[in-house]
Amino acid sequence: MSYDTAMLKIKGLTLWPVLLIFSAFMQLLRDAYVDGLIYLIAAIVCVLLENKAIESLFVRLRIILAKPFHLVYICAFSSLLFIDVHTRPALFIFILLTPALILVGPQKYIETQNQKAFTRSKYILLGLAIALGLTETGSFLISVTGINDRDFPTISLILDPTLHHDVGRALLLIPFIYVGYFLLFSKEKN
Amino acid sequence: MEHISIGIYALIIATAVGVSILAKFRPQTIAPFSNVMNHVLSNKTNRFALTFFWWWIGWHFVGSPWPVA
Repeated sequence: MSYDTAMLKIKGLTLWPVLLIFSAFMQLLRDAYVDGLIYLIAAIVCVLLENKAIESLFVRLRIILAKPFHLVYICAFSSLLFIDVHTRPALFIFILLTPALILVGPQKYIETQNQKAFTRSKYILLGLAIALGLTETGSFLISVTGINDRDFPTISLILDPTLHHDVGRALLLIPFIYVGYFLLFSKEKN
Repeated sequence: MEHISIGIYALIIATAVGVSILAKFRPQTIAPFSNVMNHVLSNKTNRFALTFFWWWIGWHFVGSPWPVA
């Protein structure tokens, strides 16, 4: 088992499906059934990705489709700034695009140069992610219990005023696309 | 109470920025964020899960009708 896989596994069980199923439950709590369903599908895809039997099916597709697929994906997301997608139906296409993109994307194992610094950094980032997740989950649970949600705002509630202005929306879209660019075009991957 | 909640979010962001700056000047102590992410993303399940969360954030925040009423 490679190191990067091992760090997200406990006794062979990858943690992603657990996290995604928990998130699906949270979505159902706020009556967002479509979001909940999407999270459940993502959890199933994560389980399938761990299955080595399907790996060989995508090897050839990766070589042929990886680069054009990335470009289509970035262009499609960028179009959100300019078009009235009337949201849900039009954006469902991304549900198909995202798993397909990962399956055809090139894979390369990256060796770590400085193991101590890497481990330290990994646990700091993991700690921050857990702190953010707990704060968001706590705020969300308090808001659904009927207490004034303004007292414990979730990230959505804090960002709402910004998203309701054209400039604010554009400013948030820029880092979002940048993160997506990093995820999809990371230089270290072949 | 609102300020406490926002303060926690601000503290998390400030810590992340601080760690990133420290990693830039002392990469032997703390590995840069991009190094960790490149390593984590070399596994396809990690890459799928993280790209999924990124996708959902876009769908949730940006995927409302445009222009916003």
